[in-house]
Formats: sequence, C-alpha cells, structure tokens
Amino acid sequence: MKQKLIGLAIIGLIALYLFKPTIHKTDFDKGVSLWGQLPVLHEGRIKPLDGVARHSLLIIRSKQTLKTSQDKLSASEWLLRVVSNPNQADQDDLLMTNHPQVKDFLGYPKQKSHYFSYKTITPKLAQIEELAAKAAVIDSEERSSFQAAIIQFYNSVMTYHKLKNSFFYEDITNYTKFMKDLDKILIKSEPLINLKSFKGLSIDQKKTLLDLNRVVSKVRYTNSVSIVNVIPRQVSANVNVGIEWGSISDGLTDRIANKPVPKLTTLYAAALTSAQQQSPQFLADVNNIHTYYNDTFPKLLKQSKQEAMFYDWDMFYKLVVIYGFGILLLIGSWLIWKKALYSAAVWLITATFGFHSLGLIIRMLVQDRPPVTNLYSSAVFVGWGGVALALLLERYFKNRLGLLVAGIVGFLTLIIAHHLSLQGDTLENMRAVLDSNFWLSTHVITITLGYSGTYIAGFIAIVYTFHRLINAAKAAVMEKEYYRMVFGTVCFALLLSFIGTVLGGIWGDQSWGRFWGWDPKENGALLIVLWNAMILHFRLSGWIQTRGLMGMAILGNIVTSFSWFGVNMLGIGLHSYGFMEQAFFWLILFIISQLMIVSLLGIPKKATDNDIKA
Amino acid sequence: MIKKIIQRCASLTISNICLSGFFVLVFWSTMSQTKKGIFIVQKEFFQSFFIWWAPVEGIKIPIFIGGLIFGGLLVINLIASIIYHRLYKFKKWGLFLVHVGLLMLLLGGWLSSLLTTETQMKIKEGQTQFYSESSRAAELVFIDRSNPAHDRVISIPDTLLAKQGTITHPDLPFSVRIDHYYLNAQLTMRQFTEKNIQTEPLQGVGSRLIVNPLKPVVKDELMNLQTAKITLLDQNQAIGSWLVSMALNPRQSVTYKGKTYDLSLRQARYYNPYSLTLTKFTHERYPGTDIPKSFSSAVILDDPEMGENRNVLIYMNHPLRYRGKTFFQASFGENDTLTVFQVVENPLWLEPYISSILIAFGLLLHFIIRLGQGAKKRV
Repeated sequence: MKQKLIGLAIIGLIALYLFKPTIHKTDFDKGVSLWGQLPVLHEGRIKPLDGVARHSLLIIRSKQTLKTSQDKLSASEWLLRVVSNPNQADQDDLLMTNHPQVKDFLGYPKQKSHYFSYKTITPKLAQIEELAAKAAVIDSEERSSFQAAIIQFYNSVMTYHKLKNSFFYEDITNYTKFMKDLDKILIKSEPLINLKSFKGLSIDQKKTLLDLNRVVSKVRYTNSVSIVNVIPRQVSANVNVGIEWGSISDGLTDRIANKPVPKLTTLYAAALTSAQQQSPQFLADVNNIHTYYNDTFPKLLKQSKQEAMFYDWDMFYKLVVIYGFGILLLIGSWLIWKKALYSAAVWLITATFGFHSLGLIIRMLVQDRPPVTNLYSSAVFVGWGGVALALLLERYFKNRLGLLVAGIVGFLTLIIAHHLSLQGDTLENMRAVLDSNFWLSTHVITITLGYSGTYIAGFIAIVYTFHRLINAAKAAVMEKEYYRMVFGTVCFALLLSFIGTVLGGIWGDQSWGRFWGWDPKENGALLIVLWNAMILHFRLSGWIQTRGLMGMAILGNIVTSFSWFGVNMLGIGLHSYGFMEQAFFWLILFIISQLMIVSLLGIPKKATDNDIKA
Repeated sequence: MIKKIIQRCASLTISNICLSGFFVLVFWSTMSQTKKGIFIVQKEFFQSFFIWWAPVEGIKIPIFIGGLIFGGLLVINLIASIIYHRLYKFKKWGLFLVHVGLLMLLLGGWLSSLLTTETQMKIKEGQTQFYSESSRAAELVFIDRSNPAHDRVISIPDTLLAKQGTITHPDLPFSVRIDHYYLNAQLTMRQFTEKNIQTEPLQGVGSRLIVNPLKPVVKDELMNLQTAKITLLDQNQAIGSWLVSMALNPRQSVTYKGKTYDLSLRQARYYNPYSLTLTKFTHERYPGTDIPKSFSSAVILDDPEMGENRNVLIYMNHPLRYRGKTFFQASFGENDTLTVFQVVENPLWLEPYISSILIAFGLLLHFIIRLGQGAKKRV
C-alpha cells in the first residue's frame, strides 16, 4: 500500500514536471504564446509559428532561445520581434559563427563571443555574398572548412533577412496604416495607370504614381523573398486537399490586382502593428486570428496547437534529467537504505519509461507517422527499445543490473537525441524514397530494436567490467547471471537485426530491384548481424569465455554506432564543418572509450578465498 | 575417412574464420566507398578470389582473401556442419532452417550476381520505347537500313572487342579486325598545325581526331567511354579503317559491294518484344520547397505477342513486373518530361525472400526452444 502511494507520488511529480503549464506574466506574453500556435506553411510543411521560430533560430544560432545583453527571448518572442520590429532585431547578437577565419574576416578576430548582430555585419554583406557564391561552385566534399563555414554563415544571414521580409516589408512602421495607404493609393492611381503618356499630369498625380511604384515594389519584394506562408485558402471543396497557402504579400498582391484581400491579411496586420507598439491590444488581435481559424479552418489550428504544445513540453529533454535521477537513486541504494531507494528507483525508471512511451505516442499522433522517421527520432526510439529490454531483464533476473542499464541507456540516448534535434525541424517531411509508412514501421523499427539490443548487451558488459574491477569477488559470484543476460540479449539482437536487414533488402528489391546492393547503410546493418553471429559462434567453439563474451559485446557498441552514425559520415571527409564534424568527434571519442573499457577486461583479477569469505 | 573429412569441414574454426573474414570485407568495402562506386567495390571485394593491391602500375599483390573464397568455404562448412551436427534432427530444426537458409542465400546471391542484368530505359513523354540500355556494357553495331520495313542490326559485344582479334559474322560481307581497343578514352580535335603524321589513315570523322586513353572510371555515376580503331577486311584485303567511340556522335557509314552499313560503338541495347509509351511523368514536390514528394510515370504497355495493352502507373516502391523484367522508377530529366526506369532481369529475384524467411523463422524457433530449455533448468 505504502509502496503504491510512493509510486503514484513519483508518477504525479514527473507529470507535473513534464506538463507544467506556463504562467504568463502579462497579456502581451500570453498573446505571444497564442501567436506561436498559429498554423503556417514553412519548408513544405504545415507547422505552428513557434516551430518556424525554433527551427530558424537553430539554423541561425544553433540555439532555441535568444539571450542578449538586455533580455532573454523565447523563440516565438524573437520571431515576433523579427517580423514586427526588424530594426530592433537587427541589433541583437543573433548570427553565429565559431570559425576563427570567418570571425577574422568579419573583423572580430579576438572577440570571445561567437554571435554577431545583423547591423555589425551589414558593411561586409556584399563580400560575404561573393565569397559564398565562389565557394558554392566547389563540390561540397572539396570545400575548405572556411568555405563551408562562410556558406553556412551566408545561409544564416539570408534566412534571417528573408524571415524579416516574410510578413511585411521591413521598413514599414505601421502595418494597418500601410494597408490603408495602399488602398488609398490604388484608388487614386486607378484612372492613371492605363494612360498612354505621362504628359500633362499634375504634380499631385505624378506623386501618386511614384507612391504606387513605391508600395508595389515593396509588396513585390516581400513576395519574392517570403519563406513563411501564413494564409490558407480553400480552393476546392475537399478540406484536406483543397487548401493552398500564400504569404501576406500574396494577399496584398490580390488587392493590387483588384481582388478582395483575405481577411487574415488584415488580422495579421493589426496584430503585428500592436506587437510593434508593444501594445496590450496584441492579445485581443491574436485572439481574433484564433477565432477566424476556429470558424474557417478549425482542424489546421487544432493540429498546429498540438505541435506547439509538444514543442513547449520538450518531454524527451526533460526525461534525460529524470533518467539521470533514477540512476543516482539506484547507485544510492547500493550504499544506504537499500530497499527503499531500490524500490524508489524501480518506480522512477519504470514511470519515466512510461512517459517516454507516451512521448513517442504523442509524437506519432502529431506527425501522423510511425515512430522513427529521421535520425533524431531513431535516437529516441533506440533509447525506448533499450530501456524496455533492460526493464524486461530486470523483471526476470531482479539483480538491479537491468535497471541500472535501463537508466544509463535511456539517459545517454536521449542526450544524443537532444543534440540531434539541434539540426532543425525534428518533424520534417520524408523524402520520396523513404515515404512509405509500411516500411518505416517494419524495417526501420526492427533494425532500430536491433540497435537497442546490441547496446543493452554492450552496457551490461560494461557494468560487468567495472564491477569486476571494484569488487572481483561479488562479480565472480554474479558472473553466471551476467553471462546469461548478455548471451540472451545478443540472441535477441541477432534476431532483430537480421529480420531488420532482410526487410531492408525486401524494401530495396521493391523500390529499385536490388535485394542487396552493398551500399553503406545496408552494409552497416549486415555488420551488426555478422558481429552477433560471430559472438555466438566464437562462444560455441570455445574461442571466447566470459571475459571474451563481455569484450565482444562491448565492441558491439562500436559496430552499432558505426552502423547508426558512422556510415552517414562517410562521404563527408575531413573538411566538413559544423554539425557533422562535432558528431564525428563524439563518435571517435565513444569508440576510444569503448576500446579502453575492453582493455580493462585484460587486467587479471582472481577472486581470492579471502574475498569470498569477506 | 569420409567421416573425418566431413568433421574437418564442419569445424567451427572455419565458420569463425569465414564470419570474421566477411566482417572485415564488409567493413573495408564500406570504407572504400568514399572513393569508389558500389559497382567496382562489389567486384573487387565480393566477386573476387583475392583483394589486390597495386603499389605501382603493372604490379598486383594479393593482400586479403576475397568474397568468393570466403563464400565457397562457408558453403562447404555449412553443408558439412548440417551433416556432421545432424541439424536435420527434430530438436535442432531451428538451427537447420537457419543454416539451410543461409546456404541458399549465399548460393542464390552468387548465382544472381552472374544472371542479373541491370539496364536503364529512358522515355520522353509521348515516346514509345522498345529497348533499354546498359550503363556499362557497349556494343559495336553495323546497321543495314536498306529494308524500309525494318533495320537489320549486327552487334558485337565489347567483351569481344577487348580481345582485339578479327571477328567474322555470316551476315557481314567483311570481317572486322580490332586494331586498338581503349576501355576509356577522350577524343580531341587534331590541330592543323600539328605535324605528327597519321600512321594509320582513318575513314570518316576519325581522321580529324586524336585518342587520349584514360583510366577506367571508379565512380558509379560516371561511364567509361569505350573507343576502338577497327579495320574492315575482305579476304585479308583492307577496305578501310575507322575510329568508333561512345564519345562520338556523328553517324559513320561504310558502303561495300553496293550495301551501306552504319557503324557505331554505343551503349549495349536490350530489345523487348513489347513496348512502353510514356503518357505522363509527374514529379511532386512538397509545397514551397525542392524536396521531392513523389515521382510517378504513367505508361501504356503494349505487347502484341501476348495481346496485352494496358495502362500502368510506375512509382516509388511500385515497380512493374512483366515477362521476367522489372521496371522501377529510377530517375528523370529534361524538365520532368523524361523518365528513367531501372530495368532489372533477375530470374532468382524470389530466392532471397524464401531463404530470409527460412532464416528468420529458424532463429525464432531456435531461441524459443533455448528459452524453454533455460526455463526448465531453472525449475
């Protein structure tokens, strides 16, 4: 009874930590959060504005928030500033480069910070563009790291510039007024535009034509650079297919072509004007947009709200903390309050696993896809599969090892997932070749579960290695259990990775007529199968005993990591810059660490009689 | 005696060595794909007896055992161990299925590497296409266009050209001597000021060209431009010499004894007794981006022999399988008006499915049996 109460309390606490509602200090803040929920089409996918803000910030700054000397902005707050107050946004230290030569080129070789405001780099803009254009001609594999970095920096600058002009032209000070002016100018100039000659026009009329030219070119410019489409239109009766998206400037272009302006254009103009003036009216304006969506496209708003909420919870990142806490409880249970801490750790890690599963389910619902669609989600899923497997082992063996490994694997994979999420949109569209829910939910799932299996075997072996060093006697007593756990998990991993590899072959045969093509990704999967088969046969023939089995299981971690990440890095070469370079560094570090751990198995340790008596 | 041989062959040491050998080959071949295309890598590592290293041109040293030897050893080892360990006994059925499946997979994979032909078919919108082309093999063809109803094509495969002998064909009034053969070459225009004297005067456009031999390509997306200098002979009397090359576009012809033949060296063609007509190619992108969402080709399949005439939609993961060939959506071009199908003819395409099912089922069975035994022991 008491146990159950503790368990419930733990689940409650985790839920509170994960789903704690944000409290908004002001109406304006509340408005920003509601604004972030609005659906838009960006990079080929309908997502909330908050998603646009996060993914753009990740590309520009590799962060999901913006800290300046004055304030700390959430992604949505930042995007709102960019589109409603570009002048101020230009002064934020936003654009990131940590390449020393690029910094040198920008004229800040000694500056510690990697961040630059748009305003500071404006004088160099033309030169950056020229360098980037020159570098772009070279094959990506042959670029120097400076060239790669300058292209990346240029892309950040361009993304920022385009975002600034994605709603209204950046120098407009009052959007509602701009729309009214546009209206006036259009009406005034209407009799003039079809004139064959400009002779005999009054000064006032000439001024009208100049004004017309000015406003039309602003609209045209935003139309050409806008990357965010905020206005959905129903073009056919079918609600799912019949929606076309346009930008604000598309709406204004309609007005210029004498068509009615979409209502949303006016609503956005009002909201952005309030935002520009930091007026509390902003909340009401945003609520108007919500009302519009609820009346016309309720489904779109519902979906993007869900996605925004999912971003806001940031579940998988928070789970890292709880898995870590679970490990600490478990380690504590070896030292004091053995029973109480152990049962608390069981509850905590099992509950965390439950929320891990819940997160995956929510992600599937939000994206309407099987759980693994890209590298990021594969990390979340490998972790999930690993924790599940380790918890099953714990249930069967009840020796704390499964629980410990569950905590460690959950903790590590979600950290990896967090770093992978920094690449941009984690719910991105699938490329045509991969776009098959059937294969995603069969081949990809089994192969990733195979990864989970080899990692679990590897981590149990690592625990054994250290256990043996710390307490050889105890480890010797438990040796059989370790052995059976690793052996069973290797069998599981062989089965799953074999089935996964074969399903991959079938997919290959279905999509390009080759069951097996020896391409790197296929080979990576085959390596895992071969490695596990080697472990089983080496064992059978007596080539390896307990320590050999443990060593090979640990080396299995390297094989799996190569297959999971290494093959993606093959084509990249030494001059790569940015994300993959970092990932490569960590992969090498991981490999070295595993080799070092394996070498620890070579230290002779014999449990003496004394040890056993003690 | 036989029993002893079988015992030796069934040795787990051989299995361990083969598995490890394959592990090394797979890893090594993956790494070497940073520089070379899959086709070459496959040949060097898996369809070979040894891995060769060429420190300087002309010298080759074997440095590792290739896929064919490891595969052959493994086949012997598998057969022997099935017999020796009596895997066919009911208790070991799981293992039996795994090993039989593996045996079939290895032999099937080797056989299909010999039997498979992979070609490409390009069709423009509105065009009707009868043949597909190899992206590697070439053929020297003589085309007799005198019959208005159909052309007559005499084709000599590049494997014969490479042997550089003299070739005769009953339908040709002359024999063909291969004077020079280049696996890959580049042609450049001869400068008028150049003083080098033409040693072998060539007919046709070849007289104005210089052949620069090139190293064979190693990347998949590149093609060797095969080139040859040929002499046509009648009873050892030379009629004339020509330069033929895949890099050469203009049509060349020879008129002999009143008959005219076009001659050219081109990608080897594989004709079908049926045709495909592309009515529409569709390339969908995610809105506002260049990320492809889907490709599909609407074609009409017309087969007078079998009396078939129907519409087919070929798209990603949905190939057309027809009369032993499979047509896959592979690529596209010319502003989305041209479609490219990968055409695969593999009589053994079903084999890996069967052996994989055997292996997967066998593994499952074996582990379940083991788990049962484990549970018994605990009780």
